[in-house]
Amino acid sequence: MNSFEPTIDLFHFLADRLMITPESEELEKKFKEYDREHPDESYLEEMENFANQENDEDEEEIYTENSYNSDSALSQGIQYTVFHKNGRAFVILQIHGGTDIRGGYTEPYIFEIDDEASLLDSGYIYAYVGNKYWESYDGGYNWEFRGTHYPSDEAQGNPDIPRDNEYPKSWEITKEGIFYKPTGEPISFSSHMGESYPQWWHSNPKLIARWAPTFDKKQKTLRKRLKA
Amino acid sequence: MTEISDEEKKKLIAEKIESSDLPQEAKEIGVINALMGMSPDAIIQSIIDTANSAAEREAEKAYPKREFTDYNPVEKKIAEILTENTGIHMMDSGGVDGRHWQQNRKVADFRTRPEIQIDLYVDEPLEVERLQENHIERQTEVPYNQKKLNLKNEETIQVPHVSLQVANKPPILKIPKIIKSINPQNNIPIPVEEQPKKKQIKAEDKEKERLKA
Repeated sequence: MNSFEPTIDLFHFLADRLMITPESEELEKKFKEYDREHPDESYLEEMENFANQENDEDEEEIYTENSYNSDSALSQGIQYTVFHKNGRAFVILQIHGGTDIRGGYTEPYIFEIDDEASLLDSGYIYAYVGNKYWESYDGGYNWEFRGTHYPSDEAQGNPDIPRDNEYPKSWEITKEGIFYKPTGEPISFSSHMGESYPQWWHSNPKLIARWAPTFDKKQKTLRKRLKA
Repeated sequence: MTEISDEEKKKLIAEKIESSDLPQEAKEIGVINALMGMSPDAIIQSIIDTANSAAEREAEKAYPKREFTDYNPVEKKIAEILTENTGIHMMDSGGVDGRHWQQNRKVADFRTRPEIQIDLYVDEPLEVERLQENHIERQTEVPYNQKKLNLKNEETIQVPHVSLQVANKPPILKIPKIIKSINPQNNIPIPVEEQPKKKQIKAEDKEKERLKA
């Protein structure tokens, strides 16, 4: 069976999500000092200990994640610890630069992020064509239809609705690309939900009202994963 | 078996290291440690560490780290992290320059790379399947010579000598067409077109009979 594998470019993924602020720069200086004072600790230990030391008392516990352990589509692995300082979310980030995944990480760097779950969607891929829209949460293995269909359409006969572990039947994967069979148009892919929304989506308040809970659900799912 | 002395052992190990393909500085460290009587594990570790360092220096020389002057601060920092040397180990799978940090140093501009890359995996028929298809095509095709023969002799249908799909067809029976008539007087064939009409024949016959009478 023909198939495809999407890879999200790490540079773009991070550039979309990370921020350098005076607070993040201050925290990074502090972290470098901590690193000098604790030569016996590994970077990972330092990241977690420093995050615990800086984390707001009234906030949730810090967490550490390695993209290698989840359905990530990133072009390189990342390892990071997220914590809160003065109500804002920060990440101490390392990038895997090669060699075996157990080693070969860069030094840790600190950035501010919008939300504690900002880096958790490294497996989310969005596909769209015309007014149709699909979403994969596991790096392109499973897809969910998010287009203009209604519950009554969710019968098995609708070729836009994929079954488990299958691509939608309305897609055609060829040597030249991936096409939407009914119209022959190429399907576009994005790792960025905002850009992948078709223009009609933004201008249709009914659709926003209809699908907004789905996107909230996504955030909730990510948070559940955090707690798990 | 004859036992060899520790001194001889050291010399043997040193000779083996010396004759290997390792980088020169790794050999030197290995030989020194062997002659100093260090444990085999320590000798191997020292050789690996020195060889890795030598490989890293070579890699740094081949693709030196560059500055990202026209990037915005976040992009610049990410690009710098992406090109940070995270090491080389002789046992990793990166070969000479396959590690991410090495590959990233070859990138002209991170910003112009596509946000997402799609790798297509399209099933190609296996070689065996292709051969089978070709074989069936060849077998079911009417050979060129036989096609010609069929045109020349329409009364017989030549069936291809080997066929997997085409069933034998019965020969078509053709009824000969009368294309000539015989003149009873001189047996010279008269073309069909020139045959006299029936009425004319009858009139001539009648005239002959009348003259005879």
